Parts: sequence; structure tokens; C-alpha cells
Amino acid sequence: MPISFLNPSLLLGTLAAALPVIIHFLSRRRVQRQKFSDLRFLDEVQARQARSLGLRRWLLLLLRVLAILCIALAAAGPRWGGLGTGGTRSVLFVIDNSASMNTGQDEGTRLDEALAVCAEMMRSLPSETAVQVLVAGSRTQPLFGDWLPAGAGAVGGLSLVEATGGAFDLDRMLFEAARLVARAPGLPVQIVLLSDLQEVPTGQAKNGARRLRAAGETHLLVRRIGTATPGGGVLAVDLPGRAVRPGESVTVRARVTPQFAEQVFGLELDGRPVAEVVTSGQDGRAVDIEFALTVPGVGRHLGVVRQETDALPDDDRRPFVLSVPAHLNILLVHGQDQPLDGVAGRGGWRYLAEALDPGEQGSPFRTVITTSAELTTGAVTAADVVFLVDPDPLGRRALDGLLAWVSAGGQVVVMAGDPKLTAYLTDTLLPAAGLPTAAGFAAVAAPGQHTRIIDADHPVFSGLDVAALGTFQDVTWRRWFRLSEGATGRVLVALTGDDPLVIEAPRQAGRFVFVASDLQPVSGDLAGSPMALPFFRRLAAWLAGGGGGAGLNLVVGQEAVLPVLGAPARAALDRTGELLVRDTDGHPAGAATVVWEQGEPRLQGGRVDRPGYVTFLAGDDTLGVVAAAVPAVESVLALRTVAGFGEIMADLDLELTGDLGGVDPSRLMATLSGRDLAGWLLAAALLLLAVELGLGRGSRV
Amino acid sequence: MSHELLTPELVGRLGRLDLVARLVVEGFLTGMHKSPYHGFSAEFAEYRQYIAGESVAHMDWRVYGKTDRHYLKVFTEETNLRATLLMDCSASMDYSGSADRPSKKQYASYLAAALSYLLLRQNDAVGLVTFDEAPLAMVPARSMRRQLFQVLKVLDALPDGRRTDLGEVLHRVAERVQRRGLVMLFSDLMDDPARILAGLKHFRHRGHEVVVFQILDPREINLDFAGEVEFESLEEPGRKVRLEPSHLRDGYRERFDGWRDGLRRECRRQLVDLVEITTDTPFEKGLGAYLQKRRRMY
Repeated sequence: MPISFLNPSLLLGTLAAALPVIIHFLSRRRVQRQKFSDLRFLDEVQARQARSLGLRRWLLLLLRVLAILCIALAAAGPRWGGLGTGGTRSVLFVIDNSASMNTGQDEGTRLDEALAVCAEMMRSLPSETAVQVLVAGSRTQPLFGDWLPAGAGAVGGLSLVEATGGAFDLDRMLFEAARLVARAPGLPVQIVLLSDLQEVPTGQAKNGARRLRAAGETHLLVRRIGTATPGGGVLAVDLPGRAVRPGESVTVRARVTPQFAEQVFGLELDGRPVAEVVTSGQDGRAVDIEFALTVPGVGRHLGVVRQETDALPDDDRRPFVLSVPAHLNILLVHGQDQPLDGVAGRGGWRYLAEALDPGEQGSPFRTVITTSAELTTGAVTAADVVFLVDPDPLGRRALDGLLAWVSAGGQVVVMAGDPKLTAYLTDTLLPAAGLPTAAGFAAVAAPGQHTRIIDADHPVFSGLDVAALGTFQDVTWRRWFRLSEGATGRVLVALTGDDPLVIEAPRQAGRFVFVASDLQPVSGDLAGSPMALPFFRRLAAWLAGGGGGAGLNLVVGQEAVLPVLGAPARAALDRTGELLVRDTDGHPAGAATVVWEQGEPRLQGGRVDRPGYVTFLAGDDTLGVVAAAVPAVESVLALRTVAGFGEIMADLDLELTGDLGGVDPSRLMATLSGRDLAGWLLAAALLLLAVELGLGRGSRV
Repeated sequence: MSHELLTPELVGRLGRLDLVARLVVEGFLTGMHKSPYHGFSAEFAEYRQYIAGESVAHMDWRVYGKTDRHYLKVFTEETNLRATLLMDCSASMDYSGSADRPSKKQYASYLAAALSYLLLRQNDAVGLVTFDEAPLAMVPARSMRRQLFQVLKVLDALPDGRRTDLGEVLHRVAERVQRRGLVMLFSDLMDDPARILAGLKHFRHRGHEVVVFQILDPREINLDFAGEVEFESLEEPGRKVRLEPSHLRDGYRERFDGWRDGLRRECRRQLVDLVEITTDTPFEKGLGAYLQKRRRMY
């Protein structure tokens, strides 16, 4: 509709247009009666002028009605054209400062353009308009403490907006917008989104949309900033999902978007290029590449996968942290030996201890062996992985400590071959892992069942050559317990016929792995297989995990969290007064916070705004480094169209009121509200009244 | 009493016609600088004290020389004028546009009374004929002092009028007024102008000088009514016209003025003096018109 009103409630004033009509009919009822000397002349003029006078009477009535209508409409603030958004009492500018907004243009970046447009729009608003700016990037937060009058102060505040490397969180933006709308001094609130409309995930935005709808009347307007710029980026770096050993050959996968054919992507560690890959083709689509890497020495290594810099530098270098632990602490818990119980017996834990820690120099595992009865919580928390091999039932305190540790990220392997453990598995351990609780002791009658690897790309098996995988699958097993993966478990290894042998079951941040066998000689030839050592070592290394950088590599916008591992790190916690954080630019970023989760300490360094490395310090000692990279979604080349964005809004039951693209920012007021018609209507009212006076001249006494 | 106070509204409140007549005339004469009797053929009658402002033409300088006082010589005039007043008593003359103003008939009667007083005071003969669609009453013209009371008695009891047939009535009255003289018609002339003029012409034909006092109410001229009005004819009860005067005013005035212009033009052509008076006009205008006519006649 081309006409809108700033104060629609004042349209009730148009009812006043009925007054002349009412007065007209009331006055017609009040007829004076007069004796008169001679009707001769009255008869004459009435006969000649009756018709024209009747017309004039109705014309005068029409003019009066129209004049009052014009005045009433003028009072309601009529606007012609524009978007009909009902005025500019409150305008909320949402500035997208996500990573993609750092894309370079002819002049500055998209963010620079957005800020310039925003400033110009603000200047175009009358001072009685209240404005607020919501900055949506790595964090989504209002720029001002409260709504401000449009003017120089608000414009000056835009200089505080800084580029970030995070993703545009639509749900968070809608949520924060709803909060600001609820505090707006006047409704409706015009929400002006200045964004490049980079592809954003929208699935979780329904909550924010619901909040915004409930907050008050709003109109969502969009101005797309920038155009799709050719270029590539490093979308993700996938480190080995297990602990790695110095000198080990590992594969580092990366997902990249080449910007031209046969583009070279490089991998650097500690500032030195160590590998390069040339992509085979490009058309702007993401491809996976692999770097062959020899693991360097023990310690934290700051790496980056990079490409030639393009318009958006932030995603051309993707940082990561590769942690190479000196060793992994294994806690091996076993029950009392019962070697001649006539069924399976116990004692297989010795084979496992030998496999993990043969006493060789340079072994990555340090194994502590204890019995179920002697298990302590301290021993559990000091370990990277706990193996329970044919355990006796644990004491309550020990069990509680173990489960809390798993919930906080601990890794436990349960191996069982003794039928006496059936009840313990069914009643305690399987429920703790969330697996189906029926642990039936139903041994496969005879050994000779070959194994089958379900997923050769699983970190336990990845990197093994075909011969190694074949050798592993040649191993014959005896499976003692029939287990089921249920809804949450995942089978890693099965016997022929899909009979699960090794099941992975997550429990909150940690994980249980059940092996339905043990290493007794009667359980098969695993103990004698050349793959016994590699399998269990790989299993332990995968579970220990941290070597792959798990938890140390995050994306901008997330909280920088550092698990406190190892005795030196824990000792550093005693110096909490000295815990500091350096941001990705190397600048001090305040103190780190110690947070205890499930009994385990973690350091929090705040939300990361820019890609790079966040360093946790205790005095002069570096406790850890976390790498923050640009979210992959910010590297996508395609920008949404405003219409496409409108469809997303429609899916969220939000209406996109208008597209401000192509609109002169200095005419935002006119664009939102249209051309002011009040003056024209008042002039029309005056003209109508003048005509009415002219026509009705002499008729008023 | 100053003549300026003798507005129609005030005179109307006096009630008694003799009093009205005397006050109007005396007030009128006192204010005049020139005696209305100057130039009249008359015999000496008495002296009276000179009043400041009067002409000194009749000052007796001998008396002044002896007594050092100013005296004027007052002459007794001979009757040399027969005036017949024709009073229109039709229903249209009952119209009054405002409660503060006398009706046209009342105004005409006041004016006629004053003129009668003035005429008789200077020893002219005065007669009166009242009429509506036919002659109603007739007082033959005489110059006796009591004649005033005869005239006033008729004027004081004017009947409610009926329709007008002014042309016919003028013919009939013209036949009955034998001796030549001054005929003064008091009417709103709400009739066919041609017939009116024919009647007046009849008087002229018989050698009369004619003065017509056309008496109208201001609202008849201006039609200043607001809102919707239902007009009912005074002469034709039951005949009504419903209209909004505000919308018809211009046309009405145009026609009304045209009608009056026609009357003026025809009167001028017939050598009839037409004196247009509204009921809010001081009576001096009517008296002055008479004196002017009298002067022209002698």
C-alpha cells in the first residue's frame, strides 16, 4: 500500500468528517416558520434556482467533509510510498561483523561499508528517533548501554565496532533483538540488518524468532552489503583423532575451497612449512586434501594450513594446535586372578600390560596396574585412559569417582571374559554407558570367528595399510558376552555375522569402550597376533585423544577453554592469581577463570573474537594454547539474496518488510515512512475551505 | 426632546398617535434652520420669541429696537392645500421583520399621523382613505383643528387587512377625491406595478400631486434569514414556500431590486414622488419629503 500513517490511531479523527453531515441533517429538521408579506419573489427564485441550489448544497457538504477528512488525515501523519513501516520512532541497526564481513572491496571491507551506510542512515533520522546498534559476529551484543537519540553521539559510537572472525548467529541475533525491542522507547521498531547475508545456519533460530515476535511490533529491513567475491579458503583442518607419537607419520586432512585450478595449499608447523598439496581442480567447491606429516617432538606445535591470500584473509590461514604428549598414562585395573575356574579364567590383563608398556625405551604409554579393590579416585583422575579387565565390582566411592571422571571426559575400556561378571555388567557398567543392559554370557562355542572392521576410517584404524587391516581381520576371536550397541553405541569391530565385539558408547564428555572378550589365550589368537599391540595401542591413543588437538582447536566465537592436564598444569592452578590469557593478537586479555566440571578443572579465557592462538599463562609459564579459526560457514562464497533471506525469515514466521538495497542511506527516513503528505493535505483542506467559502458566500448570517 | 431620539422603535412605545404626531413634528421643526412656513402667503397673527437658529427674515426689528428682545412675527396662513392620505391596510402591511420594529402598517400610521399634524398645523386640509382590496374608511379633507382627531381616530383603529388590489382601489379613490390637491399614498406597493402606476396615473390625470411612501421592512429587502425557513404568505394564508434563504438571497435581491427599480422609473415618468422608507428609518425622512414637495408646489 503506497500510503501509510505515522500515527494510525489518529485516523479516528476522520470520524469528525461525519459532523457536517450530521449537522446538515439536524439543521434540516429545524425549520423556522415565518409569516412573510409577499412570496412572489421567493417563488420566482426558488423555481429558477432550486436545482442548482440543491447541487450547491450537496457540493458544500462534500467540500466540508473533504476538508475535515484532509485535516484528520494530515494529523495522522500520512506518508506516500516508502515501506509503510509506521514511522521511525525506534530504529535498531543490526551490523553483521562476522568473519565474512572482513572481505576486502574496492574501498575497505564489507564491514567498513556497513558502518558507513549505518552512519549515513543514522544522520538521516530525526533527533527524536531512538536508535540502538546490535553487533552480531563472534558475539552478539548491543553497542550502546541503552537506546540513544539519533545524532552525532550515536554515529560516533559506531567507531567502536571492530571486525571479528566469528559466524553470524541468526538465532542469537533474533534473541538479542527481541531483548532490545522489549526495551525500545517506541513501537514499532524498525530493524535494519546490514549484512552480506553470508550463508548462515538457520535451523536453530526458531526460538529467537519466537522471542522477537513476542517482543513487540517490528519491521525487518535488510540491506545487503557487498557482492560475492571469488576466493578460496581453508574450511577445516582435521588432525588425527588420537594421540600421536614423535616421529609417527600421520595424515592431516583439510577441507579447502581453491580459488583457482591447481592451487597450492601449505601446512606449516611452528612457522616452518612442512607439507604442500596441489589441488586437482576447482570450481569454487570445497574439496578434501591430505597432508602427510611426520609428528614432531613432544610438545605443543602451532600449525596453520594456508593458501594464497585473497579478498578475505581470515580464512586463508587456518590455525591449529598439534599436541604431542610425552606419554599417555594408562591405569590398568583387574580383578582377582581365578585361572582355573574351569571356564575362562582371568589374567589376560598381563598380556594387555605387556602390549601397552613392554618396558621399551621411548614407549608412549606409562601403565599403572592396580586391582579393583585398591582403585582410588586419585589414580583415575591421574590417568588418560582406564582399562578395566575382568574387574571385580568396584566400591561405591571408586565407582562414583570413575563415572564422574568419564562424564568430565574420561575414557574407560571394559574387557570381560569371566561369566561371573554377567550381573556386574548388566546391573552397573552397561547402564553407566547407556547401552542395553542384557549382557548375556553366550560365548561363541569355538574360536575361529574372524573379525570385521566396521569403519576403516575410524581413528583406531586410519592410516593402516591394507595388509595391516587384513592381518587384523584374520584374527580369530572367542566372544564371551553378547552385547548390543543400542541407540547410542557404535560398533567398531564385529565378528563375522555382525556379532558386536568392540562397542564404543559415549557418556557425556567421556566414553566407554566395551570389548566382549579378554586376552586369555582361550579367547582366541589375538594375543599371539601381530596386530594385538597395534590395536590396543591405537585404541588407547585414540581414547587419550588430546594428542590430536581435541578441545584445543575451536572456532571464533566459542569460549576458549583449556583442560588442565598433567601434574605441572595442575600445579599451576595453585598460582591462580597469575592465570592470564593472551588473545589472538598477543595482547593481554585479562585473567583466566578456573571452572570445575565433574571434578575436573578447566581454564576459561573468554570468547574468542579473532582467528589465531589464545595462550593461557601462569606467570611466565605457558599452560596451554588454543587455536581459534574462522567458522567454515563464513568461507562459503555464495551470499544469499535478500529474497532468499526473506524465505528464511518466512520459515521462521517472520516477515521481511523491505529491501533497502539501492536505497540512498541518507533518505532512510523517507524510505521507511515515505513522502510526508501532511502539508499537501493541509493545503488541500485550505483550498477546499476556500472553495466552500466562495460557494457558500452570503449564506452565513 | 431631541428629534434624534424619535426612532421608530421609541415612537412605537409611545402608543398614542396624537402624542406621536406632535412629538415627531415638533421635534422635526425645532431642528430645522429654515422655517417651513417661509414664503407662505399669510396674514400677521402674533409674535413669538425668537429661537436661536431660526431665520431672522421675520424678525421685528422695531420691537427689538424698543425692547432689546428678539421677536418673530407669526402669520396666519390661508388654507391653500388639500392633502389626502391613502393608507394601505392590506395584510402584507402587517409584516414586521423584528419585534423591535413596528410593522409597516404601524410605521405608516405614525408617519401619516405626523404629516396630518404638520398639515393641519399650517392650516392645510387633511383627508384620509384606508383600503385593502377595497376602500375601508374615508375621512374627507378638512382644515379644522378637530380634523386631526378624526384622522387619528381612524389611524388608531386600522383593521386587519386582507389581500391587496392597489390598482383598482386607486382608481376608485381617484374618482372620489374631487378637488385637486396632494395625494400621499402609504403602501408597500406589493402589487402589480403596472396596475399601481395606472392608478397613480389616474390621480395625476385628475390634477393631483402624488407622493408615494413605499414602506418596506429591511428583512424584506435583504432576506436575512438563516437556516431553512418556511414562509407563509400574509395575504394568502396557507400558501407556503420552504427554502433556505441563504442560498437564494442573491437571486431574491436581484429580483426585488429590479422590481423597485421599475417602480422608481415609472414613478419618475409619471412625475410621482416615490419616497422609499424602511421601518427602521427615522420619520424625518418622510416629513422632509413632504416639505420638499410642498415647497415645489408653492
